[in-house]
Amino acid sequence: MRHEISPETWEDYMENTLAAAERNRVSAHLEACAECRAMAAQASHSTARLHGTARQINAAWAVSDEKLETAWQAALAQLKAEAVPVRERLDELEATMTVLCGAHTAAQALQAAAAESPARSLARLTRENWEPFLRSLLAIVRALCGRTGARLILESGQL
Amino acid sequence: MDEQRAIESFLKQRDEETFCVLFKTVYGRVLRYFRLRGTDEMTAEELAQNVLLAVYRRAGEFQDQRLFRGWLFAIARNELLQHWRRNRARIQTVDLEPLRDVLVESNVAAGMQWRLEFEAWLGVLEPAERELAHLRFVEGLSHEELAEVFAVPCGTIKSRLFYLKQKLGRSAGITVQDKP
Repeated sequence: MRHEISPETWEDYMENTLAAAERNRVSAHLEACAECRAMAAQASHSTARLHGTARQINAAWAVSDEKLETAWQAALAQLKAEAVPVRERLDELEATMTVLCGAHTAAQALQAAAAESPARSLARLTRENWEPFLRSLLAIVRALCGRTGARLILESGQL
Repeated sequence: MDEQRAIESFLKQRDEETFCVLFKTVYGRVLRYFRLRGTDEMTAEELAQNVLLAVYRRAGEFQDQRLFRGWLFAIARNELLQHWRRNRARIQTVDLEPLRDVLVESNVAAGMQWRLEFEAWLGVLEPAERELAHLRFVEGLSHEELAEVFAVPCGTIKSRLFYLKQKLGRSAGITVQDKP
């Protein structure tokens, strides 16, 4: 705290994000305090120069359309390669559950399990969020089909 | 599509189409983040791709649109730290020349010049302060987004920014004429 003005308040003052009343209080203090005036001049100069230089860097910096498209295609290829095991496992789970409780209930259970998991929908399932989805599905299947059904789903659901 | 709308669309419905728009909107920024920290072009492209794939995979865990850029650069920062740890022995010097490849041809000279001047000026700061200055001013992250990146309260970010500005001001020899 410097003369009852915190560093956070000084930062907001420099960035023009202080509410009017607080801004007036800081301005009034600056009028009266030479020490803070010197300090504020240093920080204001830096603020303006940082914003200005960053604008120049940003204006000069861009990625060509060709490089962007190449990068996107590479990322897409990796995503598609990763998605195959998840999709295959999901199909197998649906087939197993259809035998256990019928196609309609199977589809609803899968959707409910995904909705309760971090993925939040079947379309968002990935390797990373598969485990909580499977746990959620197991709880549903245990209620619907008992322990034996849940064990079958656990076996079918391993990535 | 602007960046904010691309983020909103992607978080609302994560699919190939919305991810493509998001990827193309933010890829350049993420690539620049790595290039400005001295990684070569190929490495920067690989790291930027890893970051965006992580965003795709983990999007279900993240819903606060306002802090998306903070989350994005937190992932980028972790990716860079991991890269540095893996390659610590091999990194000796930072070669600025390859930066030419990612600048638009007509802007190569200007981009290099500004970047070099910026880095020289920020040389008085500690590495963590330089990182904060880059993310705040070059990437334009808000105080709240920076709090997400560094996992500290917003007030701490503001204090750190204020102190680093003072340090830069002192190093530039800025003084003020006192009132008579």
